Amino acid sequence: MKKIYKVVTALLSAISCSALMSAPGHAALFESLLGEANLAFDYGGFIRNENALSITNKENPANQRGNIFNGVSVRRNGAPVGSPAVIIRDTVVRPVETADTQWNLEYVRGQLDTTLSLTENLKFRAEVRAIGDPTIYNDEFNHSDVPTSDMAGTLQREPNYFEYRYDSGRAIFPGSGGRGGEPQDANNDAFEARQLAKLQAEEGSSPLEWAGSDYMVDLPKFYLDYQKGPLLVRLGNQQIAWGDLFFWRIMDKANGLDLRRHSALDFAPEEFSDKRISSLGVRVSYVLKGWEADSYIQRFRPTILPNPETPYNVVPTQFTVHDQFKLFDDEANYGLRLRGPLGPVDVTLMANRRYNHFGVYQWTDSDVVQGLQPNGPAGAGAGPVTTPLEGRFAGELADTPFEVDPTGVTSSREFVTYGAIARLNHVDTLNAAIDHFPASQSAGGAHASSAEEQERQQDFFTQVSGGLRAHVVRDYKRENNFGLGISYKIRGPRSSMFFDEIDADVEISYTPNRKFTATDVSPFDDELIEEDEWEVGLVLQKFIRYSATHPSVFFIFQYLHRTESDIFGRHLSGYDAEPDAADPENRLPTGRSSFDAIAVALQQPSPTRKWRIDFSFLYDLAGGIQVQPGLRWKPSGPLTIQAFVNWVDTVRGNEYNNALSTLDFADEVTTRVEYQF
Amino acid sequence: MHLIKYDFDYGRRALLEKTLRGAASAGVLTSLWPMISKATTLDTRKAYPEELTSIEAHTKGKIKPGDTITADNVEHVEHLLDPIQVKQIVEWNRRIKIVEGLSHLDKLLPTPYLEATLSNQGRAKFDKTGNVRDGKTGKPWIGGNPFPDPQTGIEAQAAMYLNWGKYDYAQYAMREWDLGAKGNIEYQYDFLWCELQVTSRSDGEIFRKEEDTLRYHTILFTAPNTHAGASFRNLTWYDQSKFPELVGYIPDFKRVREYPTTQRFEPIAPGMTFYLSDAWGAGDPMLTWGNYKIVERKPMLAGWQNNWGGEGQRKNEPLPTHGGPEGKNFFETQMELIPEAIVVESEPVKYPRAPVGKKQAVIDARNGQYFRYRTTDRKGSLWKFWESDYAPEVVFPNGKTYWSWSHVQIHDVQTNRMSRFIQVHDVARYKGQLDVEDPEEVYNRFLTTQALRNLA
Repeated sequence: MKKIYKVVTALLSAISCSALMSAPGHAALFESLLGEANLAFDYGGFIRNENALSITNKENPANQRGNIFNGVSVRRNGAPVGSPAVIIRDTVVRPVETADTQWNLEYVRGQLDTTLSLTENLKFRAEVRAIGDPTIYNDEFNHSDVPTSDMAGTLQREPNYFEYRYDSGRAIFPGSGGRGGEPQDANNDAFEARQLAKLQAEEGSSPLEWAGSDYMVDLPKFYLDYQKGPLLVRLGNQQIAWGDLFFWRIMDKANGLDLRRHSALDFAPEEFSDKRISSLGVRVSYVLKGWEADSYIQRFRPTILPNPETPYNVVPTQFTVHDQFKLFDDEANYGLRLRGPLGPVDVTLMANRRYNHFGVYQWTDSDVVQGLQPNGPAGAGAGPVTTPLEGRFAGELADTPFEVDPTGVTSSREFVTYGAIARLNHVDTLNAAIDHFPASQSAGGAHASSAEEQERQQDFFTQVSGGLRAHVVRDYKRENNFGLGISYKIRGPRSSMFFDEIDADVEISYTPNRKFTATDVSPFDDELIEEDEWEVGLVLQKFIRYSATHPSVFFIFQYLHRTESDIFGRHLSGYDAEPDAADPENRLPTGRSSFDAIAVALQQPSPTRKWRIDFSFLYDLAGGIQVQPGLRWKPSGPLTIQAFVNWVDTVRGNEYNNALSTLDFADEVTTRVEYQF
Repeated sequence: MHLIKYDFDYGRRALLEKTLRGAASAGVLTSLWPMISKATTLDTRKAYPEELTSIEAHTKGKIKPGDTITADNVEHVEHLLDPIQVKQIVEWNRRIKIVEGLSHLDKLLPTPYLEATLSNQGRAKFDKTGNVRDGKTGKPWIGGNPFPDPQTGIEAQAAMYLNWGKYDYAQYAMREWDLGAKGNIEYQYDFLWCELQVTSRSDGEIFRKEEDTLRYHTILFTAPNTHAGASFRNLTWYDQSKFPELVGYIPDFKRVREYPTTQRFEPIAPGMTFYLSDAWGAGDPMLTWGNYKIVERKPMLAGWQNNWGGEGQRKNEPLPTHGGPEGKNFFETQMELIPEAIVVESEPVKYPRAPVGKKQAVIDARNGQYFRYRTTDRKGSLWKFWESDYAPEVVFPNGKTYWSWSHVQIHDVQTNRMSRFIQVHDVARYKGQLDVEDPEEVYNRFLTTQALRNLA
């Protein structure tokens, strides 16, 4: 952050010095550079009520109160590795009550957009975005409702809708070598406590954002624009939107996404305009002979995921995430894009160097000094399990990725199923947490050589612990992206309704040595998945005029191909697990060779454009679909009313082999009532 | 004893005969443009009998300057108005004030354009592709009206296609209201309208040496907030048989997108009755329409003066309105008798999916400028009627007065919706301006696709 501030301060100082030059010669220079003084102030904005009503009885499985094992009797057959037979047989019911969610979202949102023109060439723009969430949801999670639950951190204890929290620079084991400045001492409880105090201790990744659990205010636009002729310099907090696709972002590599606000389920044609994360930086573009060179250097900010226990959370809350953004908050991304005509086509060339905003996840020690629970979760019929191990291994567990808490994983079935949900290999993940953490071995863990053996070990651990939470760090890795875009207008016969004037675009990006979360969540950087990734998108756009009375219907068809990961950045080798398979070996992920999807969008305005019908769908060719029909009514200038439906489902194949099943719970109707001023 | 050289209906009969004959010069007593170019005066009255230049003479004293046309007296000028205007007066209590007519061409056109017209007379030719060229060099047209004395429909329309506003650069700050059938204001928009002539410039230059381009044109919405930043950029090729390149920035999507030709026949914002194709009665390239023919020559009432709303309009205040169910449908308008209007009909021959069947542009034979425009749908039913009113005394933000348009009123007669707009001092921080010193600056600021993104 300091580096960015220095650059910004230096540039602002330079501009201020120019402004202070008052000698006549300097005044002329000043005017020739900045234009005539043209002081003017404009503002506008809107107030909007947004609601999303759930139209399904599905709950979000990533949340405690949507966990698919709540209220379900699950048989456990526990045994340590090497044991010739099952040692403990019992039945467990996860001790959390399932919710009956009716409202997924209830916002009051206001936005104020202001522009202060200083001279003909210089203006300052600020946009204030404020969102209040009355949090009147009927089924919010509270950890105190779960007996004995007292997990580390704050985000998973009860819903926090808007604060982005990350660690304040802790030592992480062992992948990054004790970053944070403190030497590791596995047996020092005081050290562990200091480490733990850093969990989620930092708040907000932007100095221009203020958030609480039920509100956020930020300045997504806060910049100074200098435009003279073909030169544009934009200095300050800004979004950088490159690329022209919706649902996915092949060339749009500059900014991460802020998914706190309705996740990826907002109105699809808005193309992430409310989601792209603004950041401090400088953007310079110049146009010469029809070619535009557009460059930027901008502070890195990661994608912000919805917090645990909030309606659109996608990271199962049995995980506690140690976000390491603090170690990257003064890092910058930068890039260059060239666009212009080349014969019959328009060409875009793009290169950027950035920290991948999704990040990678790796096991880390939990630092939670908590022995095995005296009472495990209430076993259905069998009663609480008591073992001679109760209260033991507190020091060891602090140096493993595990934390004892009933809101953690409570059975191997849950372990296997949530491994599939997270697109991880449930056998390898536990082996990595044992092999790479000596304390895990001290606590009785051992490398399992078969799926069945591992599941028994998982059952055993959950039986003696009363539930295990898992701790991971979210780390960020540099990568280089190179992109090529080609646009061509297809001309067909003028009389043709469908084949004339089709805009065809191809976008291709290549990322060498991209790093992905390993499916075993290994803590070592050299065990991350590292692959060259290609992303290819084909877009066909067409306005079809089929009626003399109605404006054209706007039609977009898109095809996406990615060689290594899905649209959420998860590596495809974690796909296609079958957690309910009879043979434990068949429950493991077998992977997917590529991610392929199509998207279609239609927009049909009424003759006066007072009404507009929207329809879009995204179909993962492996069987997942998101359908979004919508209707917008603009009865008068200031008032707009909009409704759209999200329906997400797996329509064929294995639900763990398509990306969209992650949002399968989000069948809902969203309404927006907006008043502009 | 005062001898009347021509009987009362001589002028109208002569215009009718010219219409039936097809090709003919403007003027009744003499050909207008040869007379103007030879004479030292720019007065057009000598080319027409008094019955075509004086409303009092024309109506035998029933209507005179200073009178107001209402439902009570419209019968005396009904033949000078469009039937839609008559309907507006009779059914919606519209009123039109009558003023003494202007006759000098320097009050009917901007000076640089008039001078270019006079100096370049006779040099315009259609090439084999149908485009207008300088007959001497074969290069794009060199400015002014290429056919000030039009003999055919396409000649009459060519001046409108080649230079809409009659300036090399025009930047209009505009405020627009859209009214529903019940006369209530449903939408209000502010936008900036920029026209940069690349060729056919009155200064004889070719901007950036782009001989293959006729015009860059941008519409930038500045209000309301949800529509602010929405924009359209039109690139019109010099070859008038080629379709323009149309791109637009859509705030909903935060994207610049390319539009197809059919977009030219659709409202550019919710509630508007205005289509890009309608601009200046010549919104599309000339040769993408066809079957041009002059269907009528006759005297008419047109608003060429006193339509500038004065300080109110300059200060961005809404002009007084009247008529319609709520008294909000019409601006106060002043009209005068013009001796000869040419009605040119054409069809969208290259737009098989256009909802428009035909259009009729009504052009003043003296200055070649359109002032009325009407379209029919594909079934031949009357659809939209445009009325553009002008003033030679429009005050721009630089304090100078210019010849320019003042307000426009559009009536969709099939739905009874109306759109009307005026030229104001500024919208947001963008002021109106004409003929800038540095066209490169406005080009970069408003007329490139990159500019659209920056303006958004």
